[in-house]
Amino acid sequence: MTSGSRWRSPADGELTWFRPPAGLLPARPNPHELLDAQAFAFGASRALESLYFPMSEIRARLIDGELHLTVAPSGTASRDLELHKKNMRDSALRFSRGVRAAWQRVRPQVEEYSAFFEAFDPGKSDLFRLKRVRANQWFAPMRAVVAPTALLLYEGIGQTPREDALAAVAEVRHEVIDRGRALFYQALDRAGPSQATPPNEPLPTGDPSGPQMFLIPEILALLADK
Amino acid sequence: MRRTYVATEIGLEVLAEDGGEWRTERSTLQGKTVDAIVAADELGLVYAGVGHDGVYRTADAGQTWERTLEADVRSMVVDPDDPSTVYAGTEPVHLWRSRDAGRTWAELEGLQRVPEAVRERWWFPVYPHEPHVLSICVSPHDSRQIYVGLEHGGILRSDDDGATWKDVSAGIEYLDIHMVAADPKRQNLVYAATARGFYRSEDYGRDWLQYDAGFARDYMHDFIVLPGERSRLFMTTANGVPPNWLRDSRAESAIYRSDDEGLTWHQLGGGLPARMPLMVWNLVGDPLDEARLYAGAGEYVPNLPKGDPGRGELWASTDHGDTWTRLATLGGSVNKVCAAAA
Repeated sequence: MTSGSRWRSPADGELTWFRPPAGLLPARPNPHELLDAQAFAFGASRALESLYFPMSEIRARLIDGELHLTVAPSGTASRDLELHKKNMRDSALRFSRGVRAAWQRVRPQVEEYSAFFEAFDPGKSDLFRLKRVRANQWFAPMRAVVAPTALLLYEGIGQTPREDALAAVAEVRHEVIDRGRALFYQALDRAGPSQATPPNEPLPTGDPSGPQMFLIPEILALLADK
Repeated sequence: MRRTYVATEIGLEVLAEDGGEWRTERSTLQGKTVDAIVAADELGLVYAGVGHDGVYRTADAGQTWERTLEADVRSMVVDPDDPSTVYAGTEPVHLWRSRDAGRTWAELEGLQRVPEAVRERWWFPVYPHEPHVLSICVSPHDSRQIYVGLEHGGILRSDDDGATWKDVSAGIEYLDIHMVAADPKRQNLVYAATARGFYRSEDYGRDWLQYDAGFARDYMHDFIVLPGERSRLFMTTANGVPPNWLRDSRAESAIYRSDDEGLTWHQLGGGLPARMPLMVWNLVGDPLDEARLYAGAGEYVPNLPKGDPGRGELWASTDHGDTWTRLATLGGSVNKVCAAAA
């Protein structure tokens, strides 16, 4: 009898939660800022997952009013971590061979999303779409620029000169964190007051460990310019 | 007489077999990206689903076509119980149904009414990040039971002829669903191929378990299920996701067979390269001979220079996959294949 492998996404209480580095996301977010943190979590999750980072999901929650993140492990990665990392290297090569060129490819998307926020009309679009576009704005440069730069700097994967890659990350920070975030908040203002009442849960906090944390602190630090 | 309809990035090739010899009968729908091709043999009809275009219908083996639905079609299926009922799945996620052999269509709007928490998972990593219905399965046991597989987003099931839907993805980690199909003998048994593995559910999709015994690949795309004492499955696979295929060895594709309802697998050879550079995107059976299989292979077109449609191959087996012959090479990457009785 051959048995299959069962996978279950861990509950929030089974994971260790940590504060993101200052400069990336607000420490004590208001409802608009929490929506951005959730969009970041979705976009970053999809980017890192698609690049075979050994994790399944980043989550954002409030604990005592403070923003915390956690990283859920991956069942497929835990079964064969070496295969997962081989796929990660293959998957990142198209970006890490030329981080600057990769940024030039996705930059028009990032700018298109900012233009969407500027033109956002709540009579013609909805909050669901607005949040999804912001998540996509996090996703595209996370996958094409930030994660490949982390692989380049800390794993030696790729041929881009270090300074070029870091310059591309700085431009991502400007477009996504400075400009994109401000425009996203303005669009949220036009959408009206947030109906969301964020849960404020007692969850385990600390310094998480495990394969799912592979390069996560380094990626967050790159985005926060730390 | 039988025909195979080979759907490619640049049109549809119709091949006809007479006296054991295959010949190209016609090239049609030229310039169109044909993403789906299905036949209703009892009615002598063939339907083609064209990306960014719509559903086309032919009653004369592709000599003439009529477009009857305008949509970005990514998948199609004919109801196994009713040849005049046909479904089309699109990008963004919508499901359409025709009850009159493809003449008119109505959307199954219940699919849009699933909870927001479910819809939040519907997404796609390639710009513009719109998910699509890549697979539709009408249960061979009860045509009111319908499954759809979303790339990306999970699996949804309707038990009431498409009126209401529920997400049935529990147990699947990476919700890039390429195919979902019900077992022809056991109604509760359902299979799913995803970008990170193969899954089985023995409770109509409520809970899924991953089975990888025998696989030396991790990317699963398409499969067929042939009935028997224990169903026999054939699966197309590759190493890693399509963007990884920029490497020299490309997709490293392979076809696997399971003789025990998907519990264990072994790679097929018999003329197939051990690591096919082209991806085998599609496998289909034959309406006249259950030992025959057809496999359509091609490139991942986004990896190619803009405007390059890639190249394709059509492979066939007449002995349940033990041996294979390349029937044709084509000027465009093959997306789907359909074998029809006439």
